[in-house]
Amino acid sequence: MFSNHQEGIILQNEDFEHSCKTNLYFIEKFTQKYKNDKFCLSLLQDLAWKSVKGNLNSKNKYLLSGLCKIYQRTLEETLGSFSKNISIEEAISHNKKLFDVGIVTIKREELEGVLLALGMDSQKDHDLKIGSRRYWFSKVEKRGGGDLSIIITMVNRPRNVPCAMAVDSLLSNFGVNLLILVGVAAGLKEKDIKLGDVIGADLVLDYEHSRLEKDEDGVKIKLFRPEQHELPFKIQQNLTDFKPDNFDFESKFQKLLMKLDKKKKPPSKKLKDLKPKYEFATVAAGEKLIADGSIVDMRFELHERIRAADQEDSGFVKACIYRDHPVLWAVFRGISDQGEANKEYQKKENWQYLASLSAATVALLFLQNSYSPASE
Amino acid sequence: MRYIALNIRLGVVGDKPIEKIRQKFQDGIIKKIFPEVENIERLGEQYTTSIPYRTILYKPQHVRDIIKKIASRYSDQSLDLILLDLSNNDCQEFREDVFLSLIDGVNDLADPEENPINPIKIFIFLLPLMPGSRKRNGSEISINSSEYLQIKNMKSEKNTIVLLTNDYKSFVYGANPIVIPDDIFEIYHKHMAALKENPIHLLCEKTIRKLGHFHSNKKINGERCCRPYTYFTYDAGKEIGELLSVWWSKYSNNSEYIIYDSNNNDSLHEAINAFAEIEKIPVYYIEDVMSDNSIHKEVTEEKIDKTFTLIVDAVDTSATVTNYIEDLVKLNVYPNENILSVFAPAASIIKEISRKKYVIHAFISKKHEPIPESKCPQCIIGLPYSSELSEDYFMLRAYDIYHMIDSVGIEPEPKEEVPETGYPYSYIPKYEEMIEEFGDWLAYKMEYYLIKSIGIPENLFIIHPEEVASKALSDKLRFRFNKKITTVKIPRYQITKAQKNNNDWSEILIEEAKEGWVEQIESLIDQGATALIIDYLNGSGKTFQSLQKMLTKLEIGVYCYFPFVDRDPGADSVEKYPFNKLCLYEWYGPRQLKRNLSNV
Repeated sequence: MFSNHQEGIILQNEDFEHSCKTNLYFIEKFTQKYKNDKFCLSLLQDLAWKSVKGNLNSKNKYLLSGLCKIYQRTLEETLGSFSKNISIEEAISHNKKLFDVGIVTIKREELEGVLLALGMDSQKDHDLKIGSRRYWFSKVEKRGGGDLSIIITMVNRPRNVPCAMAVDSLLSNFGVNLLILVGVAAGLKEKDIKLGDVIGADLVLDYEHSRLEKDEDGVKIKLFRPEQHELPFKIQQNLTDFKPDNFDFESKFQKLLMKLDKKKKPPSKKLKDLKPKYEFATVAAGEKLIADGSIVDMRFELHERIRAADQEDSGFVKACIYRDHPVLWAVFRGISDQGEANKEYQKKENWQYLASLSAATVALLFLQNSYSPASE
Repeated sequence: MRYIALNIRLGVVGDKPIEKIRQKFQDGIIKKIFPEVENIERLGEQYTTSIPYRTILYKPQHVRDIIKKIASRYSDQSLDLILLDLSNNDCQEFREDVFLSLIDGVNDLADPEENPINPIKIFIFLLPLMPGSRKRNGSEISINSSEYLQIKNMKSEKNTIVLLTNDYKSFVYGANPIVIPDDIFEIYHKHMAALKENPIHLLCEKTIRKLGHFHSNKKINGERCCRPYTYFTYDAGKEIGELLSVWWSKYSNNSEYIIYDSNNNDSLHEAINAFAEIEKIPVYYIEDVMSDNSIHKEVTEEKIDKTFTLIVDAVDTSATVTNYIEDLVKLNVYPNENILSVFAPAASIIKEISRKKYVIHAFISKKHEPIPESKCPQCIIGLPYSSELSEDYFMLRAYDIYHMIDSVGIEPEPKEEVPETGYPYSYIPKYEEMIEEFGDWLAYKMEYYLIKSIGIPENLFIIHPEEVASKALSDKLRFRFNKKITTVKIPRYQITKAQKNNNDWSEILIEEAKEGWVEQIESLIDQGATALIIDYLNGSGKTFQSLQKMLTKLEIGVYCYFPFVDRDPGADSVEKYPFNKLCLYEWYGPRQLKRNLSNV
């Protein structure tokens, strides 16, 4: 609500977003009805006046949308039926601020890990806020020269839907060539996945989809129908041969770990022999916070290559691929617990900060050394 | 004798059906004047003839053509007489030039050279309630209607013109010596009073259609619906009370008490309680009856076997009324088969509830035109629902203004209304039509905004440029003040003249001293009045500044500047607008000023 102050009385008026959305609706309607650009441009003046009540981005978003709606009609008049294939709004949206890579983190620990890995202050305030979403900007210097521009965001809520929404917001406002999820996960200790290790996903397996039936004896049974999301081919090519150890993973990680606040580290005795390793494997993603050791069952029932499990990758991947212009994606998960009864204990030991940092370090090494941007 | 009656509505946009009561009044007048004629046949014209204020102000000579055009439709029907009923107008619109143009029109219709097929012989004018020969401040007509005819040399040798005035005078001009019976004015005034005081008529005038995004109980193909507007009455307790009294005598079926619901209508609440007190009828609020309290006990124990009448404020789908009746029947109380609602989609609706037929009677029939949610533009946009009970915002929502524009259309800005200092807007909404159609609510909002923000002082008067839409707005606003507020209209050409002279009004006020508007405004000086400057559109603040300079010169205080739409909201500087400035809609887009006049 914005207010109009008259002699100390606060008078409420319509929320600017509602005004802007209404305005856009009528710009579209009136361009068709009146076919009078001059009048419709006066609606654009109204839109501009209302949109400045919001922030810079909302102003730009509404104004651009209004302009597109007005000039779309001009385009239609000029090109006739051929114009059906051309959308000014779509064309302009392709010109939105572009970054080479977007990094999505779920929680604060993960964000701090990424900021540290990228050489930033882990407590740095955001560079931009659009609605409730916050964004940080950075750069990664590539081996062999050139920079990758990076945009980072934090979902701030666990599970798939919030993650998908955050990805959609990012992709609606910015153009990126690759989106990486950097976070923590529960690891499969039976396959020697230890705390601090990192899994780069070759496949994200959504285990939630299933069918509930009764068998011939009337006993209820659950038939799994897992959805498999394979890594995009271009990224798969980049990741297949990616070996972080070739790029001093351990020493770089240890250096970054030293920068991590002591209070955020696990007990020092447990860090003595810490040698995080990286594995390119399958990640199970669903809605469950696993603390009963069932990752082992998943490996047997769903996919032999499962090494970790989390709650966001499925939403993340779907938000990247189920769109008019799909975006390349990758997932790096640091192991912060083993999905067993001691999960909370491991959390209290601050393994999440460390696991985030190790995943972020791997992601950084990948971008610096192995990632080939799509345009190349 | 064959005649047509033209119901001429001055300063109004859009024709409306002629009320039956008015048709009777007109027939009565004709019969009274021609008692010996056995066969009097009234032809056609079921709708009013509206002459927009724009025509009155800028092209009064066109009135002549309008009248001729209508009469030409009856050229093959041997028309003998045309009744020109102007009685349903405010005397302020009945200007000299309009009247003279009407006279020109009827002269043409009577002239065999102009109208060779069927020259019409008799014209009867019914004039509005005019101030008479008395000079009156606040009115632009200060001469007796009869003087108009002396101004013009009428071609009365070919036709007869009868003029019935409100001040018990009749004038007959022309060859045919028609005798006007003395008691004709009894009919005249009786009908005028009936029209004026008819509570239904007054209730309709006090009914406001409010725009918004409202829930509807209606479902279309199982889908919930919305309504783009709702109706409410304002300060109509007296009218509802009178109607209730008449209704009760016809339809109460000896009911011994009333149960009512008046969630959205304070006027109904007030009327029912006043009526109940006078008639000594117990009255209960539905919620109290249905609650577990002493009233519930009183009704279910003491009123058992006694009939009650259900009264509600509005019926849309009858679902709520059905629920009420079903619930009340369960309490073993007996509802009257006649139910009363102030508003309903039809004057009477028959509804079967619990295997019994009920008739829902409505004072005012208004359809709500529900829209399924999937097709409701406001749902599609994602707008929140509006409150039925109160105004959600002081200013209009964007949807409100654009919905109104969608209804009335757009036009190039009338060149007569463009200040000399600036360039016209290429296209603007048709503000006159907009205010005509939605003005009751807009004026209500203006009053509401003033009361809730800066209050309304005593001795307030309205001042505005004499322009079509501003006048329409001030008319609606005057109604909010029960027409007891003075309105001063300043001719645009005088404002332009002052602007060219650096807003110096000294000479104009001296030169135009005998003009109605100068007399009017000067009379307000001694009364300690303060001005509410209104306009339908503020483009640059130049008109406001000019009017403000004039008021300052006359030492009249300015209370507030309140344009309907403010296209200059950014320039809110104290220097430019040194008084309270409010508006119903801020629509950025200042008028482009001419360089050489931009400092004026």
